[in-house]
Amino acid sequence: MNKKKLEQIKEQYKPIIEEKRAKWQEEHDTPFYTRQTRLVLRNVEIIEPTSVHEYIATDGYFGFAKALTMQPQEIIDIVKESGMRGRGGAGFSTGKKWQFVHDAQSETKYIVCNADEGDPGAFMDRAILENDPYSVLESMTIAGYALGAQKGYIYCRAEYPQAVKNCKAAIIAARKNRLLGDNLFGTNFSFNIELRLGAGAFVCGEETALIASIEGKRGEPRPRPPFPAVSGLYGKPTLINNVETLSAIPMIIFEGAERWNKIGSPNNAGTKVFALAGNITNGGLIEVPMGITIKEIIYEIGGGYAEGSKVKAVQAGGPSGGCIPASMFDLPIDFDSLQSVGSILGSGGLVVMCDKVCMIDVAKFFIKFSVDESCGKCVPCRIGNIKLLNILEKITSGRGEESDLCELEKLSKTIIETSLCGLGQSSPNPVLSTLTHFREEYLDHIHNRRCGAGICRELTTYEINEKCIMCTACIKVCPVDAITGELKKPHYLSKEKCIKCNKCVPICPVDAIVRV
Amino acid sequence: MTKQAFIKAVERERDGGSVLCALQIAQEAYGYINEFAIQTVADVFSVSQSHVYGVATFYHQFTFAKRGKYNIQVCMGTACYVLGAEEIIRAIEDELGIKAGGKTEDGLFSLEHNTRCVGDCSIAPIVIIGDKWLAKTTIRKTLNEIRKIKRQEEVRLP
Amino acid sequence: MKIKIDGKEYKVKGEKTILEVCADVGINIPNLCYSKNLGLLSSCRVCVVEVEGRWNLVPACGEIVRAGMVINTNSPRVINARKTILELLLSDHELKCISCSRTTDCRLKLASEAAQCDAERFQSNPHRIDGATHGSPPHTAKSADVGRLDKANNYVRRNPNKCILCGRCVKVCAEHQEVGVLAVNGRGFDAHIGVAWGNELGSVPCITCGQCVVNCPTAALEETSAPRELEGQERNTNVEEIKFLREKLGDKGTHVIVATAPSTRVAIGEAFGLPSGTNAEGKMVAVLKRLGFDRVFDLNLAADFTIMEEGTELLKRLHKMTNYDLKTRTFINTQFTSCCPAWINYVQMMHPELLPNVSTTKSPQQIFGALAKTYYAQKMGIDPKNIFVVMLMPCIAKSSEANREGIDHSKEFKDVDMSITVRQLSRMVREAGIDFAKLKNEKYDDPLGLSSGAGLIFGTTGGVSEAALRTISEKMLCKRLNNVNFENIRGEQGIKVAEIDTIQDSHGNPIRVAVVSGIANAERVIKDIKSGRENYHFVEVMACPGGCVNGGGMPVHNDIIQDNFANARRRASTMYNMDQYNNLRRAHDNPVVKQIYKEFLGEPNGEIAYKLLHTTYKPRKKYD
Repeated sequence: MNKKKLEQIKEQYKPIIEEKRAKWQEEHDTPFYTRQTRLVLRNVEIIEPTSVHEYIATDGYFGFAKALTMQPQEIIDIVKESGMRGRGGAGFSTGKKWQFVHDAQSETKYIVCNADEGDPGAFMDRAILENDPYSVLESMTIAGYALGAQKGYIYCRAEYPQAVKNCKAAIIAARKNRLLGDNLFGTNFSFNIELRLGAGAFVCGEETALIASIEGKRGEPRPRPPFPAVSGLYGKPTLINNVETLSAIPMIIFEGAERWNKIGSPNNAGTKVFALAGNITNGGLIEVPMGITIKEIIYEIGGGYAEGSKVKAVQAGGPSGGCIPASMFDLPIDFDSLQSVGSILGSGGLVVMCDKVCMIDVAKFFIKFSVDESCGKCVPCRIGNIKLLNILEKITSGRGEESDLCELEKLSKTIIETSLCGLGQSSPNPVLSTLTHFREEYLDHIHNRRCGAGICRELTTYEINEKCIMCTACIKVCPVDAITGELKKPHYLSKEKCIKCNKCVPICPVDAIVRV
Repeated sequence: MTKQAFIKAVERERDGGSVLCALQIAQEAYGYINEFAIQTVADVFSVSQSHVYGVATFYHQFTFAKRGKYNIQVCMGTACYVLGAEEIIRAIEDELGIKAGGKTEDGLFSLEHNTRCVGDCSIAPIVIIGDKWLAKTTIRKTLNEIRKIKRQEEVRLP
Repeated sequence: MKIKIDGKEYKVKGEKTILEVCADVGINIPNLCYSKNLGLLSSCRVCVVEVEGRWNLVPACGEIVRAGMVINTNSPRVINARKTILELLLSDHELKCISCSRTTDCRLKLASEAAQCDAERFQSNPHRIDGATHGSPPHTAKSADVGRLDKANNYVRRNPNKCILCGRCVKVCAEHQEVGVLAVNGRGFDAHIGVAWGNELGSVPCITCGQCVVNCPTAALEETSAPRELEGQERNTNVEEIKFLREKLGDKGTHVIVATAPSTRVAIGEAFGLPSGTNAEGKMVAVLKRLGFDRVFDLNLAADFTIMEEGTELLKRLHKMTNYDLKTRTFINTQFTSCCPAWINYVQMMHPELLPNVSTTKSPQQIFGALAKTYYAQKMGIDPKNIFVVMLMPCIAKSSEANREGIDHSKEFKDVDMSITVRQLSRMVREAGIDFAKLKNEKYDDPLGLSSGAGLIFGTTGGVSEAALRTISEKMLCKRLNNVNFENIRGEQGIKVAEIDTIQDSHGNPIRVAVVSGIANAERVIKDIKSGRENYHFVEVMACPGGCVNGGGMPVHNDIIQDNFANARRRASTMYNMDQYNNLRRAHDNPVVKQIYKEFLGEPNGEIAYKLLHTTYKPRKKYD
């Protein structure tokens, strides 16, 4: 393979791609799509994922061909100039990271793609790996050339079988077409990529835990320093980048840094892919410039929430992130501004929540997640998180006291400040952000023993509403005979007798039993 | 997979692979991690059985008992949760008489505990029964599917 | 370089961690998981401090000091964090401190007391015992009880309810001993230290070296003595075992004698506040007499016997070639020592092919027991069934040796009835209210109280070899050496090799000796021999790194930085000093040894000696 062959293939397949693009644009002519700036997602749903030829026709591997004519430092400088920051969540300057790995002295180095997208509610990396796997392969190859690495690993979570399948096929095809392997493009640069599967551990998305997992050990993070850029996989300098970060690199190298840094907001260049989900009309992946406001995302792209309920908050950043109340929806979305309000951009999950969502329940959900996914190595995360959960459960079951809020804040702060890795350092964020922005809900649960959203069972009451068709299904299933009535006669639910076991709600054929 | 084939597969992993990869082969081949798997991996990699067992118990992908014929996964990602996944899992528990993480006595259904986000949040909530994906599902739709399978299986019995 | 700690400027040289620098200037930052010998674990987070410019709190154990660093170790932020972390640990800990065996030296207790923690701040959470939840294996349920009730391993007892998951035991077993029977199982809050399949420690190749016990910061791991009379009783606690011994001492019908191992005398003082490495031999003898032992004897004497027997054995071997026969895959004649029972356990389970090369000479403990119940019993006119032989040991595996199948010369009674550790004795002494430091020196009893310096240095790595070389050199050269010090096999390195060119084997090769401590090193040496890279005539193996001075039964210090090697070093140094100034420096000079051979045993390796002082070992299953 060489540049000439690339041009030949591009020549041949370009018309097919152009036709496909035109067709896609025609079929996706809604604000949800037209308001996006699809750079990273440019090939998603357009090209045949495992077709090398179609990828090349979209300027694929031209970035690599160009890189081979440049000095490693030149390539790193372009990445720096582009202003790219890690899309996995930390937002660390990608160019700086590349520089660290480049400067580390070692014969052996590794490039690792972090595709362990464990954030519940995030599926950007899945979409990229499934639909545009070559962008990641090409990017890793460019990185290998620039930083002096000969081997790359893609660590992909096992829960993405299609992504794994397409990735595997792409690697095989790349090897066949001499885009991976020895003496690429006739130079003495060789590069190989291996796919490794995760095994069901969210913490393996953390860099040092990921390294431990590739090494075949328990995915326990390691103290830093030393940083992976200096001593990573098998003790060698290792670059670890997220899928989304990597997939933009070939385009940046080929078309120049301005392709990226002309978009976005100051210090937060480029676009970001978000996974919009929850109480929203149009959900799915959206790629928008950094700095777009939350309001625009929810209402103009997402179409708001149809059922008349008010949008109360949006949760950004998954279990490491925080909730942003509706009052702050004019906030631009980027790394820095989200951090300033106690949230984090995270990997890009945006879950929209209406007023039928209890924010304490949300905090509880995320803490439960962290409790389950904690590796167990360090004390604050292993034992601290479950104590946070204890207090939240106390509040949601109606036994909360105001002093609990103080304890939540103090304990959260200690866990954040003393945990070994990013999981513990961010797991209390949902608690702290809901405490800051939705304190009144906490107080309502504590002082009034009331859950306004109707979620926390002990703090709600069950009611049969006017939809009831008097079929006696609920009467038959109630274990304490709290519902009285007969076939075709009005049903009555006694609030005093009700033990809130919830057996009646799913049984009702017309969803007439509600919690208030 | 025969014992011989498994040993050979693990030996291939030793050069360049890892203990974790070897365990993944065992989980795939046998449906769970058994004593033979731990022993083989420990012997081939020259590590102690305790070490291999420690690795296996860390990752939730590995089970130590065979799953049911139809493994039920209720996605507990954020979007699915917000759209009622917790209620769905409780309803399934009630329907089958088992707790999440358990298996029905006839071995027909197992209910996975804490299925992590499957990455399809725009069609939440999602329940996967065996190979079948139920998207934008409800308690009723899910229970109906389970009952359907129960009926099918009853017919199958001689 | 200049740094600031708590507002004061200090000059620091070299690469040191914040923890070390602070300890040097008298600031003791509490820490639970750090240990100088095991390296960085960074799991407890108790030692976190404030470093200017860093957004979070930084663990002092891992952070290297840099020029201009500004550190604060006791700001409200630091103290609050420290307290909280300790309180989290306390909420997940079995708080039975008063009857706990580590009540004087538990790192969690000491740190929590200093921090004035509120042990009830957080509600406790039960650990999941239903194996079906979270996909965790069904064996989780067993681990909590299995550790406690481990019927198959009576020598290392685990209590997961006191475990703080520091990870030290896993590290020392997997990396330093390369046995690896302990690992962290499960994940998150339910993570716990366990054995494959939640089994008992006794059903996996645990060699009972006790390195896990002596490194454990709490009482999650303890030793047990397992005297035969308490066998089968539900898990004897330390308290019960001490009670049992006390009652034996108070029983007028039983003649209770104790023999003290070489390294115990330079370590026991530490349990009572005496500086590390103090020679407390005289006080040790005194306290044993105060506790009621009818006779207090010196095990060093038995060590002298070991040299006589093992040395003779070695001389016989030296008349043959010493190469590894690649065809038959056997060692032909390299002789491995046998006095370390953990090493023997290791050979039995992992390298049974080496058994023909292990010396048949019993360890000093078993030699003493055999002599006590025959020679001594006859001399004193006491029925051996009424003699109760107790060993004071730096070691945990010695209890397993006393119970070894086939080790006793008689089927009716044991040679060694009970082996206790230095730690257990120190608890007995505290219980009796004796002020150890105030005791006046007393002497060992006759006839089993006289020993040479050669017997004393058994307690450190290289000691057995040096003692053996003193005797066999003089035997082979037929003259007395001017200098009996073999400096080149002293020192704490794990593998020491020496070529003694004054003595040769029958082919004229100078005698090559390898001195090994730590099982990982033993494995290395075995591989070297098997591959043909090396050959040795004599290999000394001690399972504990550094030898018995760093044994599993030694006192644990409350030094702010746990450094077992530093203590071991000091203990060893004292022993070499004592040897230097001993009148007797060679085992074969010991008049008591000569007398007993003349009167009772006959010749070394002779018929009677062979019957009483030698044994062979069978292979054992690794997993059952």
